[in-house]
Amino acid sequence: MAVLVAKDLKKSFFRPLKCDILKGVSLTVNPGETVAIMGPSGVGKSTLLHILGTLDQPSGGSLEIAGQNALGDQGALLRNQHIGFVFQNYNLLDEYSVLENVLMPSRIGRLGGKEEEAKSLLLEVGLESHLHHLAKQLSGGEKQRAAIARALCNNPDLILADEPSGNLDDANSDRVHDILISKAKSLGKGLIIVTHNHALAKQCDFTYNLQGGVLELTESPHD
Amino acid sequence: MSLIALMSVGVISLVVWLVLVFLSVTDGIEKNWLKKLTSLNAPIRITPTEDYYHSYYYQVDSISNASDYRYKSIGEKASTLLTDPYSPDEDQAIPRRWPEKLSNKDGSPKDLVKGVFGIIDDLQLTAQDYEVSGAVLKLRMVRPQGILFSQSQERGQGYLTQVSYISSFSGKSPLLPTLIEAPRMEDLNHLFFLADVSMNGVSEDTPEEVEQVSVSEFQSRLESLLSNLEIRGMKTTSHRWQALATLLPEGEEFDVYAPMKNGVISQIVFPMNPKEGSGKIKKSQGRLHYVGKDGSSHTVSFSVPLYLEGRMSMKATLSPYEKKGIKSLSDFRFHVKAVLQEREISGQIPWEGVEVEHANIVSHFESTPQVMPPWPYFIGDEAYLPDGDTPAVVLPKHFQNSKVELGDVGYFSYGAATSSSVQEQRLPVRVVGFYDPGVMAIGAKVILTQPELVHAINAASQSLFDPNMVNGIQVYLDDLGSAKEIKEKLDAAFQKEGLSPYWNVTTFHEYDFAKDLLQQFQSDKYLFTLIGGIVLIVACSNIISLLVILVNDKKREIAILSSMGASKKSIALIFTLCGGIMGTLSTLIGTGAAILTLHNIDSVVSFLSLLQGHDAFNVVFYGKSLPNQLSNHALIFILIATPIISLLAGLVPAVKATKLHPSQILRSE
Repeated sequence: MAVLVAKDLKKSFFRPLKCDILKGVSLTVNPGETVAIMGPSGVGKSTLLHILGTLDQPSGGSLEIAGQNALGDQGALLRNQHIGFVFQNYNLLDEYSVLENVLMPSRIGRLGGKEEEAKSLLLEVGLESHLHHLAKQLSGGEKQRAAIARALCNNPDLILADEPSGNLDDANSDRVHDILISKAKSLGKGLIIVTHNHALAKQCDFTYNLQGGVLELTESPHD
Repeated sequence: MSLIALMSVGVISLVVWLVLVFLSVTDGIEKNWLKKLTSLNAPIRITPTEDYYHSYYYQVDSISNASDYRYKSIGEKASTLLTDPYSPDEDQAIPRRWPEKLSNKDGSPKDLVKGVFGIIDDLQLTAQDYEVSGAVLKLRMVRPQGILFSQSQERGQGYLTQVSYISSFSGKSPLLPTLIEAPRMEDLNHLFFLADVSMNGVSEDTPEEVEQVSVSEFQSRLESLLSNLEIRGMKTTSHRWQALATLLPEGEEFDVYAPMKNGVISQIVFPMNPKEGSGKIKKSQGRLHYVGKDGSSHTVSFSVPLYLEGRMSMKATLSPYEKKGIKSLSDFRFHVKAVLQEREISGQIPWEGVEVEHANIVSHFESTPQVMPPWPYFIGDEAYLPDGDTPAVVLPKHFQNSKVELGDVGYFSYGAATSSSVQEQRLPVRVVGFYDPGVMAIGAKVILTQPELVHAINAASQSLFDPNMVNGIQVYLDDLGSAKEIKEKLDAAFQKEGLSPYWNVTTFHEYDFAKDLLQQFQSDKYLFTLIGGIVLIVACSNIISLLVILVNDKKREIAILSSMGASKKSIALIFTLCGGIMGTLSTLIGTGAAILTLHNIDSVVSFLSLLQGHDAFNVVFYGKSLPNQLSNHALIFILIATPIISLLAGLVPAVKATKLHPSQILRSE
């Protein structure tokens, strides 16, 4: 079963004139598939990603995540159980430790006994020695790796990454990309990455270009 | 942020503290007033109706020889053996217009008064009949001219006249002990001063002189006093005090001033503290020797007067005495200890030039005292007036301002109606105590005395008073709150026994003199609570501003939590709880502070008085000290209102938090 099925998603803004930023986007992501969405700045990539992650509501169209309609009241529950976010700005809670940050989604979902899993995730992203450091004490690369661990903690079906290496140097970017893609593949998660990075896009199974409010498939494994 | 939170908690705590202290004090004052209102006038009164006075039961006494052809008061009706004193053989025929005689089911005559007391007993209530009358009180005040208990003391007299209500002394009233004031030291000294003054001629317009009583009467009066008090301290009444010579220790020198007249010492003055005088005095072999600064030396004659620069207080114990040997107060001896010029002096002195300064007064007894004290006393819970040839009266304490003291005598003057005229009658009385009449307008004019006296005056001048007002039964309750419930029980029982046409039951809520005050208290209470509530809302609205700032400050965190799946409900809950927790914390702090303040209310009042330069709270209105009990009403109000208002205040920012768009916030980051 596809982890994400989006059909004909539309989004309009009024600023102050009506501006159709998404004009009918359709996308299907299956478990273990990695998708890169590219396009110029301001074209609506992040908006699309937020709509796919139920943080924003589309003006039209339909969206199913893990087989459930994602446009109803269930947004928060779906985000907690089926979606993991990785942001360009990491968005960790600065006043909490790295471990607490990773455990936060499970706490929100009132899922106990996740501590060992969180520790092993942090080991896998190379942060085993930083468990109890405050998030604000980490470097950019470390923060993003902690954010990836947080996104994976609740064992979601879909990971949404918004320019995950936008603020990182090349070495750190490569490490973050490797982790993201390898984890998605090995764990069989759907992964959608919004990025400007062609090298990263190349690592993905599918690459779409968002232009004029619609997605164009530019690269697929079948090519 | 945390500073603002602290300030908010501080402000709410302050308001909680203020509201609690204020409401507790006003609540306490209300309770005190209620207590005062109902201590003289029990919380429930049972009064006879017109039907009672028209009944055969009441009227029959006026035509019965067995009742001396005299109407009976409720108290007399309760204690009489005969329910129906009428005898067809001796007494005149019963007038036809009289209502039917009431009978019980078994045919015996129905007793309207004993029936009521029976019901009161069944309900296990404390009750006593009361009677009110009016008369003019004229007190003859015999006072020392010159210095009390000095050798040169003379007696003069003054008069005090006051139109008064007279009420029967209700010994069963549970609050009476708190109202009757203990004799003051000036009262004790006055009683000793009057111990040999005769009451003869007290009812005369102007007795010519103060007569003395017989020695045996004098002795029994002293016995009545001394058996019920323990003298612990005496004080000199004047500067001149000859007994000082006997207290000076042998061989010790004291600083003195000794003015000379024609080369002879005319007097000797002792400063209380060591002070350079004109010389020193020393006692040796019982005689006083003076050595002046100039080296001159004199032996002081016994006739030279000795003076103290101040009044001297002494610890004193009465030496054992033979009752029969006492002819005057100076026959008593005290063993005294005092300090003069920082040295202890002690010895035995007679009762001359000294008065009582400290004494333990006994007025509570477990059983009837062997020697009755000359002031009101208590056996168990019940209060008694001292017996005596002259009926006892207890005056409102403002009479003390007119220098009335215990032991003063006088008479009640009232008009007795005869067939053709109204003649003045006089009944001698003796002041045995003072009571606190509280705040009642007529309280200050009510004199308490023996029921027989009130009835005698009423019986003579019956036509002058509305009979409904002057006689009835008072029912005392421990819990004023139960008054209405007890009234209902009484009404129901009267209905059942067929007594309801003859009796009215009223609670203190309906008393004329109390109604306005009680209603005022009630509205004050609502008003103060309302003001308290409004101030609390204003204080708690601080929480709104604080949490709105918090929501703005934590926008990013809210969006992050939302991206991880936190629902709007749980985010709203965080802020609502924040408000609730602040409210609860403030309630706890404020309540703690209020308890502390109330505990130390006297210090707070003294501080306020110090700031103002005069008493911060009027004694007449607020009592000797402000109430210091935390009011349950106020506490419940605060415990419920503050957390609720705070929670509601937390809701505003909570709703604002749910309206945030995480997508916009995360993008703008």
